[in-house]
Amino acid sequence: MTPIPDTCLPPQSAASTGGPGEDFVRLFTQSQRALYLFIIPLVSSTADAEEVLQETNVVIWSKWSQFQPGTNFLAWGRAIARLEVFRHRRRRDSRMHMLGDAVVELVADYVTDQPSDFDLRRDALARCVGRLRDRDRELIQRRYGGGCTGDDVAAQMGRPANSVYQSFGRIRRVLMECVRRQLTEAEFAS
Amino acid sequence: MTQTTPKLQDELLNLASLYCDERLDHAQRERLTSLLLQHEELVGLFVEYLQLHGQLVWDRALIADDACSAESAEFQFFADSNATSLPGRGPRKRRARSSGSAREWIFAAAAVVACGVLLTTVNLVRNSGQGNSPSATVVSTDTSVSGPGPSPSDTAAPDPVPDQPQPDLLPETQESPDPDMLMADTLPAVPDKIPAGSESSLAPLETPAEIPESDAAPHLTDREMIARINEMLTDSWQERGVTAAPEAPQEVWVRRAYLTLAGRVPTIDETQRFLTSASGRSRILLVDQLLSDHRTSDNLAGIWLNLLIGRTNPRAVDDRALLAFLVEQFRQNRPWIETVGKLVAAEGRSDQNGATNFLLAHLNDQATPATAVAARLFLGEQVHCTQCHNHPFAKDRTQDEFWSLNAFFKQTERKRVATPDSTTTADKALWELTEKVGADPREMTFYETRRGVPTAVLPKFAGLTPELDRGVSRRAQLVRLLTDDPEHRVARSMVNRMWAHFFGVAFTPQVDDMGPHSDPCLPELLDLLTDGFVRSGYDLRRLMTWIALSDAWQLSSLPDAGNSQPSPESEETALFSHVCSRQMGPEEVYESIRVALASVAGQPLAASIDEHRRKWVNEFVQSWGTDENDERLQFSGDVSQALLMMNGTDLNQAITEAVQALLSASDRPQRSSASEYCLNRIAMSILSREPTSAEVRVFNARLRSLNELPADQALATALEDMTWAYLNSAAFISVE
Repeated sequence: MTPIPDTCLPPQSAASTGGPGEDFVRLFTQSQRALYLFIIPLVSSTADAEEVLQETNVVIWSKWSQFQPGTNFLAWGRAIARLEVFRHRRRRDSRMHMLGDAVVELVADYVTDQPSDFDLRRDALARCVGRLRDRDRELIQRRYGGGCTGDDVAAQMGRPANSVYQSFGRIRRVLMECVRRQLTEAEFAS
Repeated sequence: MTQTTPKLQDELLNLASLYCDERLDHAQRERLTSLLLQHEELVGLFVEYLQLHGQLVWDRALIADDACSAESAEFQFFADSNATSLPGRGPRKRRARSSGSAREWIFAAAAVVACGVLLTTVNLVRNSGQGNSPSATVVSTDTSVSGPGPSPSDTAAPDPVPDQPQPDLLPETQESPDPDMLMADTLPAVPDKIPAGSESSLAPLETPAEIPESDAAPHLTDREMIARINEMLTDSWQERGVTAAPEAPQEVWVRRAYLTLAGRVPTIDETQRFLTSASGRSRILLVDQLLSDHRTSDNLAGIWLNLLIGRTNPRAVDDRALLAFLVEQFRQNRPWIETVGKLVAAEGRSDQNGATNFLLAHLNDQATPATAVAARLFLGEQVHCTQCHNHPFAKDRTQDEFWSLNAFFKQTERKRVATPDSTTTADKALWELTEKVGADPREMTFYETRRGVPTAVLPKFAGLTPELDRGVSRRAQLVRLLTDDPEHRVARSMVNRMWAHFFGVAFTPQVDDMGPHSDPCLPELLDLLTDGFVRSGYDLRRLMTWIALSDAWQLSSLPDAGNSQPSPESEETALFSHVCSRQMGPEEVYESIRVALASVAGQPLAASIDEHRRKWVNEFVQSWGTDENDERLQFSGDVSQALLMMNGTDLNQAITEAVQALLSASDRPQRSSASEYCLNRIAMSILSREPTSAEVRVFNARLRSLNELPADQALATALEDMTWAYLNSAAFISVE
């Protein structure tokens, strides 16, 4: 194999070249979703969130040796992601949809300290989606399950785009209430 | 800090919604900014909303029903990109950096692929839920498809709790809902009863207690059956104005056939033999050969082992014995109804009668998992919800029915057997499965309705109560009823499942939920196959032959413009005008990697080592304590897969050795260059096709980038890298 320069660290198992071990890999994969959910309130679109996550991942891998095993991986990952969010914003400063720096800093502070009860939320969300009316669930499935934009869905269903977007807003709120209720109930039950 | 009123919160949420959909105008953006800056409490709300949106995007797997995506955009991604070429996404400068060292090149590709693949795991996860993947029903599947009802995790206790809240559909507006009214509004039209087959000329079985002989004169010959299938499908396509997909090319088809039947990719020799055979009947011959090969029956046995007791085996039953039983049944092509009968009515010691291990795994919680799992696997009905309440819109799926079915299992007992001998392994206890001695045949089963009314039932199936006398065990009675069932539910559910195994989609949206509330598409075709299957004596090989040789299964899996496969999220159903591609399950991946590397190395295929495979597969499974003893199978084509695979030293080692063997092979033709020949061989072994010109270019570029190494080392490295890339590509893991 080619000798590997120190600056580029490949994901080989610890046994061979002293790369990141199984534990690191596990932590990394487990944190993906939480990192995505950290990033998404900070950027304007899901496509951007994907990109930032990807860039974050590359940095995480290249800095694997700086992570202290036993410490909070998610916190470390979030710190890196935060930097990537701002780098990304600087690159795209002409984007129309972005919010100002002050707001993003504020939101970033908030999500940095957020506890990660994402598994509970995911399950609650799944249940709530299952309880939607059929046509509402169909809308959600088309939009999120099929990778369509709202406009696509509107076109597919022959409805005016505005009305479809309003439906999304309404459905998301209903889902949010439902998830909240579920989590509260769970708290009481435990 | 100012107080936030509900009005402000409303406003914020509206703005957040627009933000999610990227429809904020300038003024709205300003307003959102100022709201957040002035009212810090709103930040939490904003984040909550956006993260909900994010979760919907990320967790598409939870809500999408589709077994395959009709979105050509997503297919494009998989068709065009394997890890050998960096997909279009990703910042440009990443490419320049990647001409560096060995693994970084691959890793950059995988990281980039990973992000795209992460968000398209929906199809892959769904695919693994259909087809030949086993009972690992992710909890959310039940909630999202089988109608509004409490999800399995709500009903953790087997005894129904009387004051459980009424499951309500979420209201459209914020006013307090009237659940009953909402339910009435949104009830889908209950379809007419599934045709009981009275239109077909099926006569009821004369001697109820007998299993139909397998050499009884079938209603139709194989050729006639296949012709009928083709006819029905063509008619329905014409009716709906659907154009069938073109035929799948030979190299795609051979890979599909081997994966579907034998559970692995073909070896390079098998592929080449098939491709070079001049006969027009090559597909027919191959199907015949595969079906008589015991590797096919063993594959089927493995699939059913997973379906019956799952992969994690939490109750430590003797899975080896159960597997041995299944292998025997399938190798000898025993009638399916006989296998079902043996599983349901099994008695004896777990090591002596392997079939007992199925029930032994599910007798906990008063046999409610046994009831639910048996109903799902053998009858194609998801009944676990009716444990606690009647089905919301299927009129005859009631609580009564669940408990009446459960009553058949209520007199079954399991006892631990003390063993002084050394043949038992330390971790597997020996059990004995028996019917309770001296039990009262009229013993009733009690349950509570939702309103808390205690009710008692006797065993009953399909409205029939068996003769309750001391001679015959309840479970044996059940088997009799299953055999005599005029609706042939056992046959029907197997047909549905087998069809889904081949086509990626079943006749019903969920392969094991065939109750009256779920409308099968093409009901006449389902009836035809059910009928034929019963008349053949439940002959699985013949059933597989009919499906495998139908015209529709020869077709490509890529929809083209004229092929209006309705998107699976909608209520419309698939018409099988093209085959749905699916993702390989973990066992298939394991076997296929083994086979592919053996092909690369030019070695004969050795027998698989069960222990090793099981250990590898179990990395991806997590046991899930629901009332159906579910498991969660986390096996999707996302980054965790790629990384776990890439970091396995086993795999690393195997690839290095395979490439070395390839390079030192003596039978390489002199004409072609070494690199060309080897690359070709690798692609043929792994993907059953030749490398594309794009792949060749990437390979050559890689070779050139290694110019500081001695030539043979560079070649070996580049070939290893290509092997990695191919194995980690979406094309490898997908069954087209």
